[in-house]
This record gives sequence, structure tokens and C-alpha cells, in this order.
Amino acid sequence: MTTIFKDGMFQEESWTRVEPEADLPQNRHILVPVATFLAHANALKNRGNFGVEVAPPDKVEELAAHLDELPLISVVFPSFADGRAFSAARILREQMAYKGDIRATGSYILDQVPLARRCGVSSFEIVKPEVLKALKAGEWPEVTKYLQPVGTVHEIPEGTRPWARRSVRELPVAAE
Amino acid sequence: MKVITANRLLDGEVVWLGAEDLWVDALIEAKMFDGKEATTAALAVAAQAVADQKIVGPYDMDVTIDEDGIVPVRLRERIRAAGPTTHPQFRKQAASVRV
Amino acid sequence: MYRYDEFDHSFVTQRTEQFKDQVRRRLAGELSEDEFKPLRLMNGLYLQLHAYMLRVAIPYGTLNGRQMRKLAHIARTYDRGYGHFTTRQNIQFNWPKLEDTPAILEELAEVEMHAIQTSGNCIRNVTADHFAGAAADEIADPRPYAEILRQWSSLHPEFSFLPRKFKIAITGAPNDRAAVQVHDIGLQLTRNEAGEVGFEVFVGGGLGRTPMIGRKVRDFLPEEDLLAYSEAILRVYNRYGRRDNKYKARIKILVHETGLEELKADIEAEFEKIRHGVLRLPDEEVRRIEAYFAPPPLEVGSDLSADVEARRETDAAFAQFLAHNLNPHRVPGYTSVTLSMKPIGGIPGDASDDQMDVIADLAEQFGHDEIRISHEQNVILPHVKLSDLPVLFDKLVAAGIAEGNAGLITDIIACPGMDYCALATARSIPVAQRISERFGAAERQAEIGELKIKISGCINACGHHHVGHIGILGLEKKGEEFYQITLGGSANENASIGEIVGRGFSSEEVVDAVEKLVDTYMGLRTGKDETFLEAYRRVGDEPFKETLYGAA
Ligand code: HEM
Ligand code: SF4
Repeated sequence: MTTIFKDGMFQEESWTRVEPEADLPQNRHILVPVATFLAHANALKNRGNFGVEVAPPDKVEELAAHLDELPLISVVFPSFADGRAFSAARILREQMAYKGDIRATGSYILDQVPLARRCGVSSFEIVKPEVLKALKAGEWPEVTKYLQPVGTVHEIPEGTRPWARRSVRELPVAAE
Repeated sequence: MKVITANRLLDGEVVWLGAEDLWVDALIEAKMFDGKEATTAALAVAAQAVADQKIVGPYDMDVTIDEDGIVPVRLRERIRAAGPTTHPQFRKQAASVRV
Repeated sequence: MYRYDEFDHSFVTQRTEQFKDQVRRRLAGELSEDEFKPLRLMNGLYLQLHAYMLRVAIPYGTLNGRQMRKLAHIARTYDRGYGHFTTRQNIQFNWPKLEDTPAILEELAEVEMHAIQTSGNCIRNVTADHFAGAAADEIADPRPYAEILRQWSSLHPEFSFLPRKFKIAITGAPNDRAAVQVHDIGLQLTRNEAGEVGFEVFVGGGLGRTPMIGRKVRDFLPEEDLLAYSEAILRVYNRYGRRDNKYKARIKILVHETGLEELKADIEAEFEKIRHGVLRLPDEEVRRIEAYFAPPPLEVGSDLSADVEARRETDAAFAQFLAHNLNPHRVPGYTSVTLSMKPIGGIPGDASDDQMDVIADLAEQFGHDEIRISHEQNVILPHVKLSDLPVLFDKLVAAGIAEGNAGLITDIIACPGMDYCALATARSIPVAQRISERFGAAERQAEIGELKIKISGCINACGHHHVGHIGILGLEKKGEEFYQITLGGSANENASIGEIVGRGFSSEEVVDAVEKLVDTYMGLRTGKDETFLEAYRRVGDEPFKETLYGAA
């Protein structure tokens, strides 16, 4: 079981990762690599209970034809220094209009959680205890003024600069 | 021969491991370690000091002894011990504070 | 210049609070050094050879007197009385205490300054021509665009964990003084046939271990597409830049390995998807930001007056200063003055707290409160009345920043090298000092003419040695400092990477070697108006090799 953080709630879920080339286990929630999915797209869609895991250097564009039938796509941070998942999420949301759940997995750090959220990530699989602890404590370490418009997270435009936004989370009496 | 060096966490000052596991900020007061075993043990002391929020980035370095005292083998470590060669007013031996 | 509104103040204040909390967590033991390091680096705080080092951004090199005075105050209060201006239009403080850094950042925020993105694998401080807004040869002021880029790149959610650092430079004049072709993105302002302003775009320039000149990807990018096109480049880089080897992670390697045409196609394809979106720059907004950079009211004045001319005749130092440290201004009667941070035998780019205070005063008194930091580590007062030059010069002499050597052989760029830098393989500053002393005589420097010497203390090339007319790279060989010389580099609009001339020199030998190169040049130049670089390009490296190593 791992803890999933989604819509402000924590829940325990169990996902089995299927190695490339391995058989698909029955009766379990599984995460499959992009290549596996593409090779068995129909079988998986019939089976259900699966998500596709996009690990760099996979290209999200390969999933284009299937998006409506994919309830979950996970984007992987192989290490916190590898920021490709941010682009993957934004492309899925903003260019491919993906509506399902985008889940961050892997070795991201706390300070990346708000950034990933802005890029369109909608749930987090949490493996680092300090991230879990901080999120449970209500921490959300970010600057609530944004200088880049992003396409899918609701944010409030501010002033005349078309690229300036502020967070809906911002309290009227934020620490200013 | 080796000595162990690091930076003090709070102010960043260069320090060396001295007697009684204190971190001293003059190389002359550093304790010398001979052989692999002694160095490994000293690095373990340093690791503990890191965990205790005293220092950061410890490592061991080679030194020799001459009439002036302890002399680092590498130029980099000599400059680190003495301060920038371009700013004699900031030479390190000016003040001697212990952690 | 740009002024923060409430939004910007809140942005920087929140960022400072965030960092303050990170320092608190570190000191309380809630964050280990491994966890803290990436966080402190994102705020420009390094741990260097002797101590912490804080790098503060001076966006596109522009600041005012109040901000300069604040830098002086920080140097005096929290450091050891000086700061170091860098080739990236930043200032580095070499001795801050970790526990003081939140207070320093708070003080900086008071004057609309910060250390955001001065380190880390993100989009760094955007640099610009230091004569921006003043130069006679300017097509348009590059700073409004630099400011727009600075904003868009600040805490970018997608581009804060790139494969490697990412540097953007922009110049508004055909004479490139911002070294745009050795940046990850280089922007050269230009006009199309309809007279509209846009950008020539270069991608994939860079120095470091594998120096490369940027390749042109666009002849004309319309103004409104600046952000969308930049985002397209960054997205392609973030997705496809190498992450397996940090020495191959810069965009220059991606350009090189993918091939220019293919990469250009990728960028254009990405751009097509987003060009009509929210990043398109509305004209009104660009004009609104441009208004912040409106030049001060300058009355057209006259040429140098008779008494200034008279002093030039009798005062050699003043004459030298006038000859080298002025750049033509677009308003008659004005000039842009370079205050040399390269006193003979001094440390390139260092300024004391008192000097910074003096510069602030002089900017307010004589320069419409504008100051620029150049990538050549000097300070510029961009708008000075010609008739004020004698008074200004006297005050500069008193402050020790009046050397009339801008662009000459003693106007040396040098990185901190082994005197400060943990990565160094040799010292750079002392070599710069010795060269400066050797060639310090005013007549000799003037006779030699334009010659750019650039020195780095290791292969990372922070001192730009690859693009020095004479480049010096400090290495270590058998425990000794050892210097490799390159010739023929240039960072202007005809950028080139210098060629290694031959085996390196010991610390004792290197200044003599430079002197031999200079003497050789003096002997073979066609006249005083053929510069070292031109002569080198004409004759090649043979005569120089011969003087250093004897006939082959
Ligand atoms: C003292 C601490 C410093 C450290 C640890 C440091 C580190 C580095 C490293 C590792 C690189 C190579 C990056 C790469 O090739 O990917 C680099 C490049 C560079 N740094 Fe520094 N640097 C320092 C100071 C400076 C200073 C003082 C300046 C300005 C004088 C500077 C300006 C640059 C420039 C212009 C480059 C070349 C950019 C390029 O490769 O295109 N750095 N630095
Ligand atoms: S070139 Fe090397 S020695 Fe010089 S500042 Fe950069 S990293 Fe340090």
C-alpha cells in the first residue's frame, strides 16, 4: 500500500508495477509502461484497473489515440533533479486535453509538489516520509503569486500583465 | 598524515578537527591522523558532527609537518587554511575561535 | 527602470519568507545538508572554499543609487567590506553567515532585489548590453524584453529542474556587447523591412568544457512571440536535453547531437502549438513595461567645451580616461562612462563598500540615478553630461575607480579562481594582477590598443577565457598551477572560440608569455588601427607559436 494524495485527501492504494514484457497479473490494480500498454491496448482496456506510467524518455504523445479510455496516467520523477514530468503533465493537460488523473510518482521533493500541481498533476503517490509528513501538516511551500499562466489549474489573473496570476489558495491576508 | 576539515554550519568558517573532538579554526591546532583506521574513525566523528548540526562537508586531506607546523600538501588546501592570497587582511590565523 | 508593484513585492517577500523558513528548518535539524543544498542553491547561496557565498542578481545589470547603497550596506554589515561583480551581472558576497542570509535577503527585498535563480538548473539572471537605453548604435532598448523574460522565468513551474543551467542574453545594438552568441539563448534586437522590432535568435552557445557559438534559429522573431518562442525552446530542451552526463547536459550539446535543422523543426513545431495562446505578448503590455525604461529627460547639449579640451591637453590621466572610458550616447552632449573596476594591480570586479557608496552618490549627482554593471566586471554611469566629466573624473580618482583602461589590456576579466572557488584548479586573480602591473603604464596600454584578456581558474570558464583575444585557463599539473593560453577568441557579433596555442606555462612563466605575444603583435600589426584580434585573424597563429616555442 502507498499513500495517495488527491484533492486534499489521503488514501491508501495498492498498485502493482508491471515490468516490461511481464505477464499481466489478474485481480490487481496495475501500472504498465507505455510500451506494454501500446502492445496490449485492447486487452488492457477490456481488463480495466490499470494506469499507464510515463517514465522519461517516454513521450506522452504516444498515448494520444487512447486518452479517453485512460483513467490514470502517472508521470515519473526518476530523481528530483529530473524535471521532465513537469513537461509531460503540462502537455497532457494543455495540448492533449487529457481529463483523467495525472499522478506524480517517484523521487520528487516537497517543494516540487505545488509546481507539479500547477503543471496539471492531480494526484501524488508519496514514497518519501518527509513529504507525507509535511503534506499531512498542511504545508504547501510555494509563492502564491505566479508569473506564468498555466492552462488547467484555476488561477486568478492579476493586473494588466497577461502572464501574472495568483493562487485561489491565497488568503486575503497572506503574509505580505 | 591526514587532518579532517569542514565548514562550520552557522557561519561557514573553515574548521579542522582538533583535540577532544573540538572543531578548531586554525590548522595549527588540528589533530593529525596516521593510517586508514585512524582517519576512518575521525571521519566518523565528523559524520556525527554533521548530524549534530555543527559542521558541513567534512573530508580528509593530506598534510606534512615542517618547522612552521602542519602544511597541507595541496595548494588548494594551503589557500583554504590561510585565506585568499589576494586579501592578506583576511588571513585566517587572525582569530582563533573554537566551535 | 522597472519598479515593483504590489504583486512583485508580494512575490519577492514570499520567496524570502520561504527561504527564511528553509534556513530555520536547516538550523533546527529538520533538514539535512543534502536536502537543504538544492534549496539554498535555488536562492544563490553556495558553500565555497572558505565560507558561504551569496550571489545576488542585478537583473540585466541595471540598478539605481539606492540599490547600490544597499549592496554597500550589506558588504559592510554582513560581509567583509566588499563585493565582487561577475561576468553575469551579478554581485557575489564572499563571507556571509548562513544565519544572516534571511536578513540579507529581507534587506535586498526592501530595494527590489533578490537572489532568486542565481544558481541551480533553472533559467538564470537574464543579461543585457550594459549601455542599454543610452547607446547611440541601439535599435531598441533590450531591457523591457529582459524584464519580461525575467518575470516569465521566475519560479517557472515547468522549467525549474532543467537538465542544466540556462542562460539568456539580449542586446539591442548591432554591436553585440552582451556576448549573446555564447549563451543558451542569445537575442539580438533587429528591425524587419516594415520597421517592426523583433529578434534574431541564437540557440546553443555556451562556454565551459565544450565551448560553442550559438546557432541562429530565427532571423526575425516578432516581438509578440518572445515568450511563446522561449517557452518552446525551453520545453524542447527540458524534454530532450541529456541528463545522463552533466558535462553534456547544456542545450549546446543537444543542438550539436540532434542537428540544427531537426532541433529547429522541433522548436517550431512546439511553437506552433502555443503561439496563439496566453503567452502572446499584447502590444499595450510591452509598451507599458517599456515606459518604465523611458530615458531620463536629457537636454541636448554641446560637444566637449573648451576648458574640458584644455584639461585634456595637460592632464594625461584625464585624456586617457576620455579616450577609452566613454561610449557614444544617443543624445548629443551626453556620454556613457565606464568606471573601471580594474585598477592597475587590483582585483578585477571587486568593489569596496565605500566605493559602492561613492558610485551611488555619483549616479545620483551626475547620472540621473542610473547605474549599470557590465559583463566585463565594470560599472557604468549611462547618462552623463559631457560638461560634468572633469568633476566626475576627480571624484572617481579619489575613489580609485578612474583608470582609463576600458577595453585595454589591463581591463581583464577574471573569475574568483582558487582564492575563493571550491572547483578551481588554479588561481586567476593573482595572474590578472601581475599582467595588469606588467602592462600598467598608461602609454604602453594605449599604444597596444584594444586587447581583451580573460582568465578562468578551471575548465568551467566562468572567466570567459574561450572568448578572450588572449584567453588564460588555470589548470593543475603535478600539484602546481599551470596555465594554458588560447588566442583569437571573441564574444562580440563576430564571435569565435580561441585556439589553444600550445603547451601551457607555469605561474612564473605565464606573464612573460603574454608579453611575448603582445610584443609579437606589436611587431607585425599593419598599424595602430589593426587590433590584436584583427592581426591574429589575418596572420594566424604561426608567428605567435614561434615566439612562444621557437621555430617548429
Ligand atoms: C565561485 C563560485 C562559482 C562556481 C561554483 C561556479 C560554477 C560554475 C560551473 C560549474 C560552470 C560550468 C557550467 C556548465 O558548463 O554547465 C560555470 C560556468 C560559468 N560561470 Fe560560474 N561559478 C562560480 C563563479 C562564477 C563567477 C564569479 C562568474 C562571473 C565572473 C561566473 C560566471 C560563469 C559563466 C559566464 C559561465 C560560463 C557559462 C557557459 O558555460 O556558457 N561564475 N560556473
Ligand atoms: S571558472 Fe572554475 S575556478 Fe573560476 S569561478 Fe568558475 S568554477 Fe570557479
